[in-house]
Amino acid sequence: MKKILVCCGTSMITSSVARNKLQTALSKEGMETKFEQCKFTEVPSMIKSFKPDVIVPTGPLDEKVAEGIPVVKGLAFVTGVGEKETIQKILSIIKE
Amino acid sequence: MILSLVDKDLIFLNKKFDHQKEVFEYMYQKLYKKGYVKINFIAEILKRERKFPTGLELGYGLNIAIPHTDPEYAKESFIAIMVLNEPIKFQKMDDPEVDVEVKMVIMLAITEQGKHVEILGELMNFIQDQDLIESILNAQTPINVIEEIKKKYDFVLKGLHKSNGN
Repeated sequence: MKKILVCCGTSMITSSVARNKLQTALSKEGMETKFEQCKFTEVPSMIKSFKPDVIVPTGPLDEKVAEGIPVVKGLAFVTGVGEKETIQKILSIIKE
Repeated sequence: MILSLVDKDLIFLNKKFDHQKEVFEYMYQKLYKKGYVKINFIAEILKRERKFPTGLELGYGLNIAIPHTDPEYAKESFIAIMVLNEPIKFQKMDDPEVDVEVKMVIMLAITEQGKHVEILGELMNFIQDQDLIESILNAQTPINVIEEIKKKYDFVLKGLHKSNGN
């Protein structure tokens, strides 16, 4: 079971969109995944409690807070531009 | 679903402003008067946009901004649309250092927890629909805008109906 943390600024608007699309795409690929969603400011504590395999921010997350966990930018899920590539990138990380 | 959140009094066409702050203040005045937002909404949305900008490059040569903040500062869900005569500078959501010239501002709040994801999904389809966005940019009146949105969704509904029938 791979764990994915989706995060955004404050209101959970863009992270909800990203989470929904990513969840659908990954289940189509037959991947078993677990999702959590939080604000950027909550990422450090979520890393400790949830221990994600990949972090998907929809905005500018300071990669230093990721503590070495792979970060894949998720704005494509909001704009629709480069969505497939983003899904592929996330797949290649969690399939490892 | 999206259509139920669009109020013709919250569609502002042919507007001219020099700065995003003026856009926000204008929209806030209307939203506040109609009871959609709380009095502190304006301060919060300005703060949030500074910290986490909402400019988006949509990939078909058009940029929009989707300013929003925590739903606790809204009283009711809404989608407000402004079309600007001249583009205004916003900053990119994924890279706040970079400016984008924005012609359309879609301000929103979703207060219903349950419908959240469904409405957002629709809204994202909406902003990714080049034809629809362009028809809104060219619309003459708020009623035209609503008609264009309606046309799009009627079409989708009919399409669904048809494929179910087969």
